[in-house]
Amino acid sequence: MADLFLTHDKAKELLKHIASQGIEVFGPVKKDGSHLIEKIKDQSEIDFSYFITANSIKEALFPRYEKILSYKISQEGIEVEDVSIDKSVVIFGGHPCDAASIPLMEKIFGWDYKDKFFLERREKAVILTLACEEADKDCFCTSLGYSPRGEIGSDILLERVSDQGWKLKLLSEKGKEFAKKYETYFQSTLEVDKKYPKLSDKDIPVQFDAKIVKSWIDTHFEDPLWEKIASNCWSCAACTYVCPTCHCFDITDDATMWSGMRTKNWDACTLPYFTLHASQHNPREQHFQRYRQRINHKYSIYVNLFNAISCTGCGRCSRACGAKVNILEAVKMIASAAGGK
Amino acid sequence: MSDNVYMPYLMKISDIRDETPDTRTYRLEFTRPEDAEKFDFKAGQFGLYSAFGGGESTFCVASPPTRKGYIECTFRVMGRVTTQLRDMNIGDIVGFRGPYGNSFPIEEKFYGKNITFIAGGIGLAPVRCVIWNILDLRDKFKDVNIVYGARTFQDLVYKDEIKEWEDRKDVNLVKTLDPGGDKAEYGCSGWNGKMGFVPAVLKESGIKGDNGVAVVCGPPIMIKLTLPVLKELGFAEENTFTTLENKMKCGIGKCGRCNVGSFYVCKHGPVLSAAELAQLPDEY
Repeated sequence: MADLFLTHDKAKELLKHIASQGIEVFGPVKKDGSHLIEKIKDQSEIDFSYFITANSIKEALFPRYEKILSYKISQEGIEVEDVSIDKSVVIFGGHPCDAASIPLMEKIFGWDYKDKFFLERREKAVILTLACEEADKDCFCTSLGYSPRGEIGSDILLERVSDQGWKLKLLSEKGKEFAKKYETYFQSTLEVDKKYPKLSDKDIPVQFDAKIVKSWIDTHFEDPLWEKIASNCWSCAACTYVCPTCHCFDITDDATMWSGMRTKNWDACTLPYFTLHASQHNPREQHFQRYRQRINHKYSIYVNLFNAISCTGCGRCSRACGAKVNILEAVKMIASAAGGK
Repeated sequence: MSDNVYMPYLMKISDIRDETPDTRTYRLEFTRPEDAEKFDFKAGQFGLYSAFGGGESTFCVASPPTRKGYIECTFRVMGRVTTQLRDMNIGDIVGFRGPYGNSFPIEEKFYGKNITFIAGGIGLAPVRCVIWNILDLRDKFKDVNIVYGARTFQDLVYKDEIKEWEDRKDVNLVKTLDPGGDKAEYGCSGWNGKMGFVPAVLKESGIKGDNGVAVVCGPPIMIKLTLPVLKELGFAEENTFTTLENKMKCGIGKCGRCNVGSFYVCKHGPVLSAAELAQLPDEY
C-alpha cells in the first residue's frame, strides 16, 4: 500500500464529516486555554496545537454518566427497558499512553461478567493516535514499558512529518478499513520536515523498576511512607477523572414519579464517601488510605488480577493535581524505599 | 435474558415480616416463571436489591437454597434505598440482580461435622440461610449449635425462628443480650437467655471445636473478639468461616470499592475462612 498522509486541514474536515454521519467523534478541542478530548460537533473548534490533552480518551468508551436501563412505573407494574449500544465511535488525538489504556480497561470490564457498555463500544471504535513529539517532567511511559511512539491499542498511528500533517501507520483491520473508507481525505505525498520525529524512547528515561515497586507495596501495606506521599492530597478526585485507566463507578437511579433510568457514573477511590458503609463505618477513612488504594490498585492489585499494571505513565494525574501530589514522585519514593532506583 | 449484566430480575413481594422497628424481611417471588425455573444459588451468596427510583442496595440472600421458588432478604432502614424499600407493600415489585459471590463450602467442609453458628444482631441474616440449609439436610451433620446475641431484646431478628430452633431437640441454642438489653423499654418481659457479650457467652457455652466447623457473622468488633475464642475452643482457622461486608455498587468486580487489597469481596468473597481473613490487610 502506498504511503498515506493527512494534513491538519483535511483532518478537521474529516472529523466534521464523520460527525455529520451520525458516528460519534471524539477529538481535540481548545477550551478556555486548555485542550480536551471532546465529542465533536459540526461547529466544534478542533485544534491540534497541544502537547497532551488535559483529559484522556476514556470518556469516548466509558462516559462519565450513562444510562444502563430505563423503566416505566404504572398501576399495572414496572416495565424495564434495556439500552443498546448503536453508535460507533471514532477517537482522534489521544497519545500512545491513551490508546494503551484501552486493553487495560478491557480486562476489568470483561472480567467474568461482561460489561457490554464498554466492550461493545470498544468493539466498534476506531482509535487514531498521535505519536508524541514532546514530553514533560511528568511523562514516564517508558518506565512502564510503553513508548511515545507506541502502537498498543491503536488502529492507526499518526506520526508527524511536518508542521502541516502526519504520516499514517495502519495497525489493524479496522484501521485499514477506515483509511479506505475515507481515502479522499488522505494524500500520497507530503513534504517532510527533517526536524521530525522530535521524540524517541531515549528522551524519556526509565525512572523506576515497576517490579520493585510492586514487591514493596505487597510487603508494606502499613508504612509511614504512605502518609508522607499523600499528605498534600485534598481528596478532590481530579486525578481519577483525567486518568485513562481509572474505571471506578457508581450506579444510581435518576427518576421522576412514573419513569426513570439507572445510570453508571464515574466515581473515585480517592473520595471519602466511596467506601462509606450505611452504618457510617468507613474502611478507607483517611486521605492516605485512599491514595494508597489508588497506587496499590494500579501497581499491585491489577497485576495480581490481570498480570498488568493499570497505569500507562501519561502523567495526567500529576498535571491535574492542585495539591501537587505527583504519581511519578510517589512511585519513585516507593522504589527508593525498596532500595531500587 | 438480556446481555446487560446490570439488568435486574423483577420480583414481587409476597410476604413481609417486621423483625424490629427498623428491620424488615421480604419474601420475593419471580414475576416470570422462566426466571424462577432457572434461578439457583448457594448459601452465602448475595444480590443487589433495587427500589426503582431509589437505587440498588446489597444484601445477602437470607433464605436457604434448599427452599425453592422464592428468596428472602432482611434489611435495616439506613439510607435512601432501604427507606424506599421499607415503604413497599405486598405485591410491589423489587429488582434483584444476583446471585453473586462465592458460598459456604457446605458439601466439601461441613458434611459429617459438628456445626456451630455465632451471630450478632442483623448478622443472623446470612447465618440464617446456612442454618436452614443445614437443618433441611439435618442427617448429614452431627451437633448443631447456635449462639445468637443482640444489643437489646428489641434488636433480636427472626424471633419466631429462634423459638423454633430452641424447641428442636437436634439444635443447641444459646441466646444472649448485651448487658442492659433486657429492660422493659425494649419490649422484654422475662428474658430466659444469657446476659453478656457474644464472645464471652460463647467461651462459657461448653461448645468444643473438635470435628467442628464454625460460621461467624455480626458487627466487625464482635467478629474480631469471637475469632480468638473459637481458636481457644479448638476450632481450626481453616474451618472457621465468616462473610465480609463492604460497600458495593456493581457486585461483579468492576466498580472498584469492595476490595480489601487484592481480595474483591464481591468476587473472591463474601465467604472466607479465618485463615484467609488473617492474610488480608486490615482495611475492612
